[in-house]
Amino acid sequence: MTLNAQSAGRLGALAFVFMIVQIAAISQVTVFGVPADLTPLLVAAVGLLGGSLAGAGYGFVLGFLIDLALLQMLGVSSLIYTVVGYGAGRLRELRDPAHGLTPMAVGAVAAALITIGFALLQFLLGLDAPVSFALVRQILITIVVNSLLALPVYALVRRLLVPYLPDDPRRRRRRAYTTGGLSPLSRA
Amino acid sequence: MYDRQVRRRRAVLAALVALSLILLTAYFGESSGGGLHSVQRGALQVLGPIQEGASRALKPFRDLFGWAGDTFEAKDERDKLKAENERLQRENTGLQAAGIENKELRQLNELDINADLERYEPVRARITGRNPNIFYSRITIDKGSSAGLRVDQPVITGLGLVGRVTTVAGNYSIVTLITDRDFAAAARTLPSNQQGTVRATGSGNSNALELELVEDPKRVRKGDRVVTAGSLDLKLKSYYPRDLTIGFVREIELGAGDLDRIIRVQPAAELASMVWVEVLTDVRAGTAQADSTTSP
Repeated sequence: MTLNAQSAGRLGALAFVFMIVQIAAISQVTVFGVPADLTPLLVAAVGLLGGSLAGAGYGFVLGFLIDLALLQMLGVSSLIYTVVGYGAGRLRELRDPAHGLTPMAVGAVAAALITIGFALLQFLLGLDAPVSFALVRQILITIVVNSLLALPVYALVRRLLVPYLPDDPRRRRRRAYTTGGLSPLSRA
Repeated sequence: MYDRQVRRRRAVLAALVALSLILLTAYFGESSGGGLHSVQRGALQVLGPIQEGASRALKPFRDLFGWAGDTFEAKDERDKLKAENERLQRENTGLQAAGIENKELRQLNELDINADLERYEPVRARITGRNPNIFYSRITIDKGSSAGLRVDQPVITGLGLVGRVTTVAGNYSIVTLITDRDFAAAARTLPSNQQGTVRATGSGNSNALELELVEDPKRVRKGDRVVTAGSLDLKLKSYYPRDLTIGFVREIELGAGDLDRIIRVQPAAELASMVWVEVLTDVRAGTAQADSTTSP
Protein backbone atom coordinates (compact mmCIF):
# COMPACT_ATOMS: atom_id res chain seq x y z
CA MET A 1 0.00 0.00 0.00
CA THR A 2 1.24 3.48 -0.82
CA LEU A 3 1.46 5.29 2.46
CA ASN A 4 1.26 9.06 2.00
CA ALA A 5 -0.54 11.94 3.68
CA GLN A 6 -3.73 11.23 1.75
CA SER A 7 -3.93 7.51 2.52
CA ALA A 8 -2.93 8.14 6.16
CA GLY A 9 -5.68 10.77 6.37
CA ARG A 10 -8.24 8.33 5.03
CA LEU A 11 -7.11 5.64 7.43
CA GLY A 12 -7.21 8.10 10.35
CA ALA A 13 -10.69 9.31 9.45
CA LEU A 14 -11.84 5.71 9.06
CA ALA A 15 -10.47 4.80 12.51
CA PHE A 16 -12.17 7.77 14.12
CA VAL A 17 -15.55 7.19 12.43
CA PHE A 18 -15.49 3.45 13.20
CA MET A 19 -14.62 4.12 16.82
CA ILE A 20 -17.43 6.65 17.31
CA VAL A 21 -20.01 4.51 15.48
CA GLN A 22 -18.92 1.48 17.47
CA ILE A 23 -19.27 3.20 20.84
CA ALA A 24 -22.41 5.20 20.06
CA ALA A 25 -24.41 2.64 18.08
CA ILE A 26 -23.02 -0.82 17.35
CA SER A 27 -22.16 -1.54 21.00
CA GLN A 28 -25.74 -0.79 21.98
CA VAL A 29 -27.20 -3.40 19.63
CA THR A 30 -26.77 -6.92 20.91
CA VAL A 31 -27.06 -10.22 19.05
CA PHE A 32 -27.75 -13.10 21.48
CA GLY A 33 -26.66 -10.77 24.28
CA VAL A 34 -23.33 -9.83 22.70
CA PRO A 35 -22.55 -6.61 20.84
CA ALA A 36 -20.59 -6.79 17.58
CA ASP A 37 -17.15 -5.19 17.57
CA LEU A 38 -16.08 -3.75 14.24
CA THR A 39 -12.71 -2.42 15.35
CA PRO A 40 -10.76 -5.72 15.17
CA LEU A 41 -12.23 -6.25 11.71
CA LEU A 42 -11.02 -2.81 10.65
CA VAL A 43 -7.49 -3.56 11.85
CA ALA A 44 -7.52 -6.99 10.17
CA ALA A 45 -8.77 -5.46 6.90
CA VAL A 46 -6.06 -2.80 6.90
CA GLY A 47 -3.43 -5.44 7.65
CA LEU A 48 -4.78 -7.67 4.91
CA LEU A 49 -4.73 -4.85 2.37
CA GLY A 50 -1.71 -2.87 3.51
CA GLY A 51 0.74 -5.44 4.87
CA SER A 52 2.29 -6.10 8.25
CA LEU A 53 3.79 -2.66 8.91
CA ALA A 54 0.60 -0.78 8.07
CA GLY A 55 -1.47 -3.34 10.01
CA ALA A 56 0.69 -3.22 13.13
CA GLY A 57 0.88 0.59 13.15
CA TYR A 58 -2.83 0.94 12.52
CA GLY A 59 -3.62 -1.61 15.23
CA PHE A 60 -1.53 0.28 17.74
CA VAL A 61 -3.14 3.64 16.99
CA LEU A 62 -6.70 2.29 16.93
CA GLY A 63 -6.12 0.31 20.13
CA PHE A 64 -4.76 3.41 21.84
CA LEU A 65 -7.77 5.48 20.69
CA ILE A 66 -10.19 2.84 21.99
CA ASP A 67 -8.50 2.60 25.38
CA LEU A 68 -8.50 6.37 25.57
CA ALA A 69 -12.15 6.83 24.62
CA LEU A 70 -13.51 3.98 26.74
CA LEU A 71 -11.33 4.70 29.78
CA GLN A 72 -9.88 1.22 29.67
CA MET A 73 -6.40 0.33 30.83
CA LEU A 74 -4.08 2.05 28.35
CA GLY A 75 -1.87 -0.31 26.37
CA VAL A 76 -4.02 -3.44 26.51
CA SER A 77 -5.94 -2.87 23.27
CA SER A 78 -2.85 -1.35 21.59
CA LEU A 79 -0.87 -4.51 22.31
CA ILE A 80 -3.50 -6.94 21.07
CA TYR A 81 -4.56 -4.89 18.04
CA THR A 82 -0.90 -4.48 17.02
CA VAL A 83 -0.49 -8.25 16.98
CA VAL A 84 -3.74 -8.70 15.02
CA GLY A 85 -2.78 -6.07 12.42
CA TYR A 86 0.70 -7.53 12.07
CA GLY A 87 -0.64 -11.08 11.74
CA ALA A 88 -3.15 -10.13 9.05
CA GLY A 89 -0.41 -8.27 7.19
CA ARG A 90 1.98 -11.20 7.36
CA LEU A 91 -0.71 -13.49 5.98
CA ARG A 92 -0.97 -11.24 2.96
CA GLU A 93 2.80 -11.03 2.54
CA LEU A 94 3.42 -14.76 2.88
CA ARG A 95 0.34 -16.31 1.26
CA ASP A 96 -1.19 -13.50 -0.77
CA PRO A 97 -4.67 -15.02 -0.35
CA ALA A 98 -7.08 -14.27 -3.16
CA HIS A 99 -10.11 -16.27 -2.05
CA GLY A 100 -13.25 -14.20 -1.58
CA LEU A 101 -13.89 -15.55 1.89
CA THR A 102 -10.39 -14.84 3.22
CA PRO A 103 -11.50 -11.65 5.03
CA MET A 104 -14.17 -13.66 6.82
CA ALA A 105 -11.66 -16.20 8.10
CA VAL A 106 -9.23 -13.45 9.03
CA GLY A 107 -12.05 -11.57 10.80
CA ALA A 108 -12.91 -14.68 12.81
CA VAL A 109 -9.29 -15.19 13.81
CA ALA A 110 -8.96 -11.48 14.66
CA ALA A 111 -12.06 -11.59 16.86
CA ALA A 112 -10.82 -14.77 18.55
CA LEU A 113 -7.34 -13.33 19.13
CA ILE A 114 -8.77 -10.15 20.61
CA THR A 115 -11.29 -11.74 22.96
CA ILE A 116 -8.92 -14.48 24.10
CA GLY A 117 -5.96 -12.08 24.26
CA PHE A 118 -8.03 -9.71 26.33
CA ALA A 119 -9.03 -12.51 28.69
CA LEU A 120 -5.40 -13.63 29.07
CA LEU A 121 -4.17 -10.12 29.78
CA GLN A 122 -6.93 -9.59 32.34
CA PHE A 123 -5.87 -12.75 34.14
CA LEU A 124 -2.18 -11.83 33.92
CA LEU A 125 -2.93 -8.43 35.40
CA GLY A 126 -4.65 -10.13 38.30
CA LEU A 127 -8.12 -8.79 37.58
CA ASP A 128 -10.71 -11.18 38.92
CA ALA A 129 -12.80 -12.42 35.99
CA PRO A 130 -13.62 -16.09 36.46
CA VAL A 131 -13.81 -18.32 33.41
CA SER A 132 -17.37 -19.53 33.15
CA PHE A 133 -19.52 -21.19 30.54
CA ALA A 134 -21.26 -17.85 29.99
CA LEU A 135 -17.93 -16.20 29.20
CA VAL A 136 -16.90 -18.94 26.76
CA ARG A 137 -20.33 -18.71 25.13
CA GLN A 138 -19.98 -14.95 24.79
CA ILE A 139 -16.54 -15.29 23.23
CA LEU A 140 -17.86 -17.83 20.71
CA ILE A 141 -20.86 -15.67 19.80
CA THR A 142 -18.58 -12.63 19.41
CA ILE A 143 -16.40 -14.58 16.99
CA VAL A 144 -19.40 -15.74 14.94
CA VAL A 145 -21.01 -12.28 14.80
CA ASN A 146 -17.74 -10.58 13.88
CA SER A 147 -17.04 -13.18 11.18
CA LEU A 148 -20.36 -12.35 9.55
CA LEU A 149 -19.53 -8.65 9.54
CA ALA A 150 -15.96 -9.13 8.29
CA LEU A 151 -16.82 -9.17 4.58
CA PRO A 152 -18.72 -5.86 4.45
CA VAL A 153 -16.06 -4.17 6.60
CA TYR A 154 -13.31 -5.49 4.34
CA ALA A 155 -15.21 -4.35 1.23
CA LEU A 156 -15.65 -0.86 2.68
CA VAL A 157 -11.98 -0.53 3.65
CA ARG A 158 -10.88 -1.87 0.28
CA ARG A 159 -13.12 0.58 -1.53
CA LEU A 160 -11.65 3.49 0.42
CA LEU A 161 -8.07 2.37 -0.05
CA VAL A 162 -8.26 1.19 -3.67
CA PRO A 163 -6.31 4.19 -5.06
CA TYR A 164 -3.40 3.28 -2.82
CA LEU A 165 -3.40 -0.46 -3.56
CA PRO A 166 -1.43 -1.09 -6.75
CA ASP A 167 -1.31 -4.85 -6.51
CA ASP A 168 -4.62 -6.20 -5.28
CA PRO A 169 -4.27 -10.01 -5.30
CA ARG A 170 -7.60 -10.69 -7.02
CA ARG A 171 -6.92 -8.15 -9.76
CA ARG A 172 -3.42 -9.56 -10.21
CA ARG A 173 -4.70 -13.13 -10.56
CA ARG A 174 -7.32 -12.00 -13.05
CA ARG A 175 -4.65 -10.16 -15.01
CA ALA A 176 -2.37 -13.17 -14.91
CA TYR A 177 -5.18 -15.32 -16.28
CA THR A 178 -6.06 -13.00 -19.14
CA THR A 179 -2.59 -11.78 -20.11
CA GLY A 180 -0.71 -14.96 -19.51
CA GLY A 181 1.41 -13.54 -16.71
CA LEU A 182 2.39 -9.95 -16.30
CA SER A 183 0.16 -7.05 -17.23
CA PRO A 184 1.53 -4.39 -19.59
CA LEU A 185 1.49 -2.00 -16.66
CA SER A 186 3.74 -4.13 -14.46
CA ARG A 187 6.03 -4.83 -17.36
CA ALA A 188 6.39 -1.09 -17.89
CA MET B 1 17.42 -5.40 0.50
CA TYR B 2 15.19 -8.25 1.72
CA ASP B 3 17.11 -8.48 4.99
CA ARG B 4 16.73 -4.77 5.54
CA GLN B 5 12.96 -5.04 5.03
CA VAL B 6 12.73 -7.96 7.46
CA ARG B 7 14.80 -6.11 10.06
CA ARG B 8 12.68 -2.98 9.66
CA ARG B 9 9.46 -4.94 9.98
CA ARG B 10 10.62 -6.72 13.10
CA ALA B 11 11.97 -3.50 14.62
CA VAL B 12 8.63 -1.71 14.11
CA LEU B 13 6.70 -4.60 15.65
CA ALA B 14 9.07 -4.78 18.62
CA ALA B 15 8.85 -1.00 19.11
CA LEU B 16 5.03 -1.01 19.05
CA VAL B 17 4.80 -3.97 21.44
CA ALA B 18 7.35 -2.34 23.77
CA LEU B 19 5.41 0.95 23.64
CA SER B 20 2.18 -0.88 24.50
CA LEU B 21 3.84 -2.61 27.45
CA ILE B 22 5.31 0.68 28.70
CA LEU B 23 1.86 2.29 28.50
CA LEU B 24 0.30 -0.68 30.26
CA THR B 25 2.87 -0.69 33.07
CA ALA B 26 2.71 3.06 33.58
CA TYR B 27 -1.09 3.06 33.62
CA PHE B 28 -1.31 0.06 35.93
CA GLY B 29 1.14 1.61 38.37
CA GLU B 30 -0.23 5.13 38.62
CA SER B 31 -3.10 6.35 40.81
CA SER B 32 -6.42 7.53 39.37
CA GLY B 33 -5.13 11.10 39.56
CA GLY B 34 -2.05 10.29 37.47
CA GLY B 35 -1.06 11.77 34.13
CA LEU B 36 -2.40 9.03 31.87
CA HIS B 37 -5.73 8.97 33.72
CA SER B 38 -5.95 12.75 33.32
CA VAL B 39 -5.31 12.39 29.59
CA GLN B 40 -8.18 9.88 29.42
CA ARG B 41 -10.52 12.24 31.25
CA GLY B 42 -9.50 15.01 28.86
CA ALA B 43 -10.20 12.73 25.90
CA LEU B 44 -13.63 11.95 27.34
CA GLN B 45 -14.38 15.67 27.48
CA VAL B 46 -13.41 16.05 23.82
CA LEU B 47 -15.00 12.85 22.51
CA GLY B 48 -18.12 13.09 24.70
CA PRO B 49 -20.01 15.64 22.56
CA ILE B 50 -19.11 13.71 19.39
CA GLN B 51 -20.34 10.45 20.94
CA GLU B 52 -23.50 12.18 22.08
CA GLY B 53 -24.18 13.58 18.60
CA ALA B 54 -23.47 10.22 17.00
CA SER B 55 -25.67 8.46 19.54
CA ARG B 56 -28.61 10.71 18.66
CA ALA B 57 -27.97 10.53 14.92
CA LEU B 58 -27.67 6.74 14.93
CA LYS B 59 -30.71 6.13 17.13
CA PRO B 60 -32.94 5.05 14.19
CA PHE B 61 -30.30 2.50 13.20
CA ARG B 62 -30.15 1.14 16.75
CA ASP B 63 -33.93 1.05 16.98
CA LEU B 64 -34.19 -0.85 13.70
CA PHE B 65 -31.76 -3.55 14.76
CA GLY B 66 -33.19 -3.58 18.26
CA TRP B 67 -36.65 -4.13 16.80
CA ALA B 68 -35.42 -7.05 14.67
CA GLY B 69 -33.78 -8.66 17.68
CA ASP B 70 -36.81 -8.03 19.86
CA THR B 71 -39.09 -9.75 17.34
CA PHE B 72 -37.06 -12.95 17.58
CA GLU B 73 -37.30 -12.91 21.34
CA ALA B 74 -40.89 -11.67 21.53
CA LYS B 75 -42.58 -15.00 20.89
CA ASP B 76 -40.73 -16.74 23.65
CA GLU B 77 -41.31 -13.84 25.97
CA ARG B 78 -45.04 -13.73 25.18
CA ASP B 79 -45.53 -17.30 26.42
CA LYS B 80 -43.63 -16.59 29.59
CA LEU B 81 -45.56 -13.39 30.18
CA LYS B 82 -48.90 -15.16 29.71
CA ALA B 83 -48.04 -17.59 32.48
CA GLU B 84 -46.64 -14.77 34.59
CA ASN B 85 -49.79 -12.73 34.05
CA GLU B 86 -52.03 -15.53 35.30
CA ARG B 87 -49.90 -15.94 38.40
CA LEU B 88 -49.86 -12.19 39.05
CA GLN B 89 -53.63 -11.90 38.73
CA ARG B 90 -54.02 -14.51 41.45
CA GLU B 91 -51.50 -12.72 43.62
CA ASN B 92 -53.03 -9.34 42.96
CA THR B 93 -56.25 -10.18 44.75
CA GLY B 94 -54.35 -11.09 47.89
CA LEU B 95 -52.07 -8.10 47.58
CA GLN B 96 -54.91 -5.61 47.31
CA ALA B 97 -56.22 -6.74 50.68
CA ALA B 98 -52.73 -6.83 52.13
CA GLY B 99 -52.02 -3.39 50.66
CA ILE B 100 -54.80 -1.75 52.64
CA GLU B 101 -53.59 -3.42 55.80
CA ASN B 102 -50.02 -2.52 55.02
CA LYS B 103 -50.89 1.13 54.47
CA GLU B 104 -52.47 1.33 57.88
CA LEU B 105 -49.48 -0.35 59.50
CA ARG B 106 -47.07 2.00 57.81
CA GLN B 107 -48.99 5.01 59.07
CA LEU B 108 -48.91 3.54 62.52
CA ASN B 109 -45.19 2.88 62.50
CA GLU B 110 -44.30 6.04 60.52
CA LEU B 111 -42.25 3.85 58.26
CA ASP B 112 -41.54 5.15 54.82
CA ILE B 113 -40.75 2.17 52.65
CA ASN B 114 -41.56 3.95 49.43
CA ALA B 115 -38.58 4.65 47.28
CA ASP B 116 -38.88 8.41 47.63
CA LEU B 117 -36.22 9.21 45.14
CA GLU B 118 -36.60 12.99 45.23
CA ARG B 119 -34.70 13.15 48.50
CA TYR B 120 -31.64 11.73 46.75
CA GLU B 121 -31.67 14.65 44.29
CA PRO B 122 -31.65 12.52 41.14
CA VAL B 123 -30.07 13.87 37.96
CA ARG B 124 -31.41 12.39 34.73
CA ALA B 125 -28.78 11.45 32.15
CA ARG B 126 -28.76 9.96 28.69
CA ILE B 127 -26.49 7.08 27.73
CA THR B 128 -24.15 8.21 24.96
CA GLY B 129 -21.75 5.29 24.72
CA ARG B 130 -21.31 1.71 25.71
CA ASN B 131 -18.17 -0.41 26.00
CA PRO B 132 -18.27 -3.26 23.45
CA ASN B 133 -15.72 -5.32 25.35
CA ILE B 134 -17.22 -8.23 27.28
CA PHE B 135 -14.68 -7.70 30.05
CA TYR B 136 -15.92 -4.22 30.86
CA SER B 137 -19.48 -3.36 31.86
CA ARG B 138 -19.42 0.37 31.48
CA ILE B 139 -21.52 3.09 29.90
CA THR B 140 -20.89 6.75 29.20
CA ILE B 141 -23.57 9.27 30.24
CA ASP B 142 -24.00 12.89 29.23
CA LYS B 143 -23.81 14.43 32.71
CA GLY B 144 -20.68 15.17 34.69
CA SER B 145 -19.32 17.26 37.53
CA SER B 146 -21.08 20.36 36.18
CA ALA B 147 -24.43 18.66 36.95
CA GLY B 148 -23.31 17.73 40.45
CA LEU B 149 -22.12 14.20 39.72
CA ARG B 150 -19.33 12.75 41.81
CA VAL B 151 -17.50 9.44 41.86
CA ASP B 152 -19.32 6.58 43.67
CA GLN B 153 -22.83 7.99 43.29
CA PRO B 154 -25.42 5.28 42.54
CA VAL B 155 -27.16 5.10 39.19
CA ILE B 156 -30.67 3.71 38.69
CA THR B 157 -33.50 3.31 36.21
CA GLY B 158 -37.18 3.03 36.99
CA LEU B 159 -36.71 -0.73 37.27
CA GLY B 160 -33.76 -0.86 39.61
CA LEU B 161 -30.10 -0.32 40.35
CA VAL B 162 -27.81 0.10 37.35
CA GLY B 163 -24.40 0.72 38.90
CA ARG B 164 -22.30 3.59 40.20
CA VAL B 165 -20.34 6.49 38.78
CA THR B 166 -16.65 5.60 38.58
CA THR B 167 -15.16 8.43 36.53
CA VAL B 168 -16.38 12.00 36.24
CA ALA B 169 -15.37 14.62 33.69
CA GLY B 170 -16.94 18.07 33.25
CA ASN B 171 -19.95 17.07 31.19
CA TYR B 172 -19.61 13.30 30.92
CA SER B 173 -19.21 10.40 33.29
CA ILE B 174 -18.46 6.71 33.16
CA VAL B 175 -20.83 4.39 35.00
CA THR B 176 -19.68 0.91 36.00
CA LEU B 177 -22.65 -1.43 35.81
CA ILE B 178 -23.72 -3.95 38.43
CA THR B 179 -22.65 -6.76 36.08
CA ASP B 180 -19.03 -5.58 36.26
CA ARG B 181 -16.71 -7.91 38.12
CA ASP B 182 -15.96 -5.15 40.67
CA PHE B 183 -19.57 -4.82 41.79
CA ALA B 184 -20.58 -5.90 45.28
CA ALA B 185 -23.31 -4.58 47.54
CA ALA B 186 -24.93 -5.41 50.83
CA ALA B 187 -28.37 -6.73 50.01
CA ARG B 188 -31.43 -8.34 51.49
CA THR B 189 -34.19 -10.43 50.01
CA LEU B 190 -37.90 -9.65 50.11
CA PRO B 191 -40.15 -11.04 51.41
CA SER B 192 -37.81 -13.62 53.00
CA ASN B 193 -35.72 -10.79 54.55
CA GLN B 194 -32.31 -12.46 54.40
CA GLN B 195 -29.14 -10.34 54.50
CA GLY B 196 -26.31 -11.11 52.13
CA THR B 197 -23.95 -9.73 49.54
CA VAL B 198 -24.69 -9.45 45.85
CA ARG B 199 -21.68 -9.86 43.58
CA ALA B 200 -21.16 -9.99 39.83
CA THR B 201 -19.72 -13.37 39.08
CA GLY B 202 -19.37 -13.43 35.34
CA SER B 203 -17.75 -10.94 33.06
CA GLY B 204 -19.29 -8.02 31.30
CA ASN B 205 -22.61 -8.54 29.66
CA SER B 206 -23.40 -11.98 31.02
CA ASN B 207 -25.91 -10.53 33.50
CA ALA B 208 -24.62 -12.91 36.16
CA LEU B 209 -25.14 -11.83 39.76
CA GLU B 210 -24.97 -14.07 42.80
CA LEU B 211 -26.23 -13.60 46.32
CA GLU B 212 -23.59 -14.76 48.78
CA LEU B 213 -23.05 -14.90 52.54
CA VAL B 214 -26.76 -15.24 53.16
CA GLU B 215 -27.85 -15.67 56.78
CA ASP B 216 -30.24 -18.55 56.14
CA PRO B 217 -30.14 -19.49 52.45
CA LYS B 218 -32.89 -22.09 52.86
CA ARG B 219 -35.42 -19.31 53.38
CA VAL B 220 -34.65 -17.60 50.08
CA ARG B 221 -37.14 -18.47 47.32
CA LYS B 222 -37.01 -18.22 43.55
CA GLY B 223 -38.58 -14.91 42.50
CA ASP B 224 -37.64 -13.10 45.72
CA ARG B 225 -36.84 -9.45 45.22
CA VAL B 226 -33.25 -8.50 46.08
CA VAL B 227 -32.81 -4.94 47.32
CA THR B 228 -29.89 -2.92 48.65
CA ALA B 229 -29.43 -3.13 52.39
CA GLY B 230 -27.79 0.28 52.78
CA SER B 231 -24.90 0.63 55.21
CA LEU B 232 -24.48 -2.28 57.53
CA ASP B 233 -21.95 -0.50 59.66
CA LEU B 234 -21.69 3.24 60.39
CA LYS B 235 -17.95 3.17 59.71
CA LEU B 236 -18.36 1.39 56.38
CA LYS B 237 -20.76 3.49 54.35
CA SER B 238 -22.49 1.77 51.46
CA TYR B 239 -22.41 3.31 47.99
CA TYR B 240 -26.12 2.57 47.67
CA PRO B 241 -29.04 3.78 49.76
CA ARG B 242 -31.39 1.26 51.24
CA ASP B 243 -34.22 -0.50 49.36
CA LEU B 244 -33.16 0.03 45.75
CA THR B 245 -34.15 -3.03 43.74
CA ILE B 246 -31.11 -4.89 42.43
CA GLY B 247 -32.92 -7.82 40.86
CA PHE B 248 -34.84 -11.01 41.41
CA VAL B 249 -33.73 -14.47 42.46
CA ARG B 250 -33.64 -16.36 39.17
CA GLU B 251 -32.28 -19.72 40.22
CA ILE B 252 -31.21 -21.52 43.37
CA GLU B 253 -28.69 -24.28 42.84
CA LEU B 254 -28.20 -26.77 45.66
CA GLY B 255 -24.62 -27.47 46.68
CA ALA B 256 -22.95 -30.31 48.58
CA GLY B 257 -23.73 -29.09 52.09
CA ASP B 258 -27.08 -28.41 53.68
CA LEU B 259 -26.55 -24.64 53.64
CA ASP B 260 -24.51 -24.65 50.48
CA ARG B 261 -26.57 -22.88 47.83
CA ILE B 262 -25.72 -20.81 44.79
CA ILE B 263 -28.37 -18.11 44.51
CA ARG B 264 -28.39 -16.50 41.07
CA VAL B 265 -29.93 -13.07 40.67
CA GLN B 266 -31.30 -11.52 37.48
CA PRO B 267 -30.77 -7.73 37.40
CA ALA B 268 -34.07 -5.83 37.45
CA ALA B 269 -32.85 -3.02 35.21
CA GLU B 270 -32.69 -3.74 31.50
CA LEU B 271 -29.00 -3.03 31.24
CA ALA B 272 -28.66 -3.87 27.56
CA SER B 273 -31.45 -1.67 26.25
CA MET B 274 -31.79 1.26 28.67
CA VAL B 275 -31.40 4.75 27.25
CA TRP B 276 -31.99 7.00 30.26
CA VAL B 277 -30.68 6.65 33.79
CA GLU B 278 -30.82 8.69 36.98
CA VAL B 279 -27.84 9.45 39.18
CA LEU B 280 -28.62 9.86 42.88
CA THR B 281 -26.45 12.81 43.83
CA ASP B 282 -27.28 12.98 47.54
CA VAL B 283 -27.00 9.47 48.89
CA ARG B 284 -26.51 10.56 52.49
CA ALA B 285 -30.20 11.40 52.60
CA GLY B 286 -31.13 7.76 52.26
CA THR B 287 -28.27 5.80 53.75
CA ALA B 288 -29.68 3.95 56.69
CA GLN B 289 -28.47 1.35 59.12
CA ALA B 290 -29.38 -2.19 58.27
CA ASP B 291 -30.02 -4.74 60.93
CA SER B 292 -26.92 -6.85 60.53
CA THR B 293 -23.41 -6.51 61.86
CA THR B 294 -21.43 -7.95 58.96
CA SER B 295 -20.37 -5.71 56.15
CA PRO B 296 -19.03 -6.62 52.72
